[in-house]
Amino acid sequence: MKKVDTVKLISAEGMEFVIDKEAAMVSQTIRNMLTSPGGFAEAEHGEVTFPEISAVILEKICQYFYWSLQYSRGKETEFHIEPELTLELMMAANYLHT
Amino acid sequence: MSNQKKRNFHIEAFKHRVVVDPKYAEKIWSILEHAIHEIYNHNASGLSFEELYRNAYNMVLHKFGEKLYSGLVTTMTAHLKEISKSIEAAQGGLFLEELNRKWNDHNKALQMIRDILMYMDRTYIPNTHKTPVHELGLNLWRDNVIHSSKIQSRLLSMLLELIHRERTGEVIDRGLMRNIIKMLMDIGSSVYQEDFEKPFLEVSAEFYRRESQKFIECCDTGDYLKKAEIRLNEEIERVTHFLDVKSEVNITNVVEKEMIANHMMRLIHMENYGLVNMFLDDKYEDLERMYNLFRRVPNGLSITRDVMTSHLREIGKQLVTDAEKLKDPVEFVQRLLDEKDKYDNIINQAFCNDKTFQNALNSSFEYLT
Repeated sequence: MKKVDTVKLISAEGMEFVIDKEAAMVSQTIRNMLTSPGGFAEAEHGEVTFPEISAVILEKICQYFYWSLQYSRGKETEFHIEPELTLELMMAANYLHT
Repeated sequence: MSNQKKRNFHIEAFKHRVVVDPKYAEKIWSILEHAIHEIYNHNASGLSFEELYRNAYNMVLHKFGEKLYSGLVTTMTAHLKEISKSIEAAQGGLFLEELNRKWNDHNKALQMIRDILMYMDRTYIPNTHKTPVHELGLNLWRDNVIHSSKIQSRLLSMLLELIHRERTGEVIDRGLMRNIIKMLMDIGSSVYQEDFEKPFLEVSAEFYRRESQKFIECCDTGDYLKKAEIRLNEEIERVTHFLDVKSEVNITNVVEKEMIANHMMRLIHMENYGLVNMFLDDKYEDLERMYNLFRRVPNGLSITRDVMTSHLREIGKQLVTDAEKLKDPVEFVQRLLDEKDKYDNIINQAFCNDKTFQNALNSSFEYLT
């Protein structure tokens, strides 16, 4: 079931998350990364490493991407954020322009 | 339990700030500077977007945005100066091609740089009201390349020369022209106007002044008007192919003034070939052409109308004196109606059924009767 349109996001610890490109592009930063002209390494290999984002946060962010897509399609659920994640999550969101 | 976690957070945040000192900023900046070099040298594939973006992000986040911005300006300026030299070194015809190639390179590099510095664009720049990266890149290109003393005049003279060659019948590389002109428009419409359009219009006026002088000496009205029409259409076509659409009205004004308005009286009253002769010889095509060209210049049509009116009165007088000699009223009326028919047709077919001409015609005939 390997769809070609996926990207791999790698956390600081090396944990890999494979998600749809459409989901990843919810982040403006990732969108720029993948669509920038000039062949940066990420676009070439389809994988992005985030040495400053931990796996826990990165996982939450991936969940957020999918939730965001669902929400824009009309499925209006709530996105729950554990309070201890809030600071790091917000910093990551700022970084990723999400 | 959760209290402890919260305390952990505070300590981590504190650690963040300690790491930040000028040496750290220097280090990050040199990474970014190196990356910009690589980008300009077409070597970007080895670079990691994320790493560069993160470095730029950290610099801005830790209040080193100023250093990043000024470093960007310095580095880009240095690169553009080098690029400038290589363009200046290009020989003859290759000059425009080299300029075009470097412009495309610069645009691509600029986009990449803007992407990695996106965070600065989003946060630092609006706060300090500085020029955003993309616009900055265009301005630096303008200042260091287009307005560099050696390039500015050479660029203009090459553009004008190519246009002149095309006017004298040569085939030129229109795609290249289009790209260069578009470059000038992208940098700023004032650049396009000052650096190109104004001199272009002056040179064109001179060209058409000389050309119209040459033609009017050797051509009759019909031929001259044909040539003028060809030139006018040529200029319009040129604009659609590679100039700014706003230039169309400017260049057509130049052609209209130099080729038509300046010689209008001479064309109308030319012996054996002027307007009156066209009427007498039923030269519909020439009349139509004259109408279409003269309507473009101020007073063109009113003068034509006046000449037509006085000519009709002449005809009328002629008919009346003839009728007196022949003493045949039917013949007189017939010929009057024939003349009216003829001019009705002319106005209909050659003058676009122009009401003002129709009125002039009617009032002339009323004057007779």
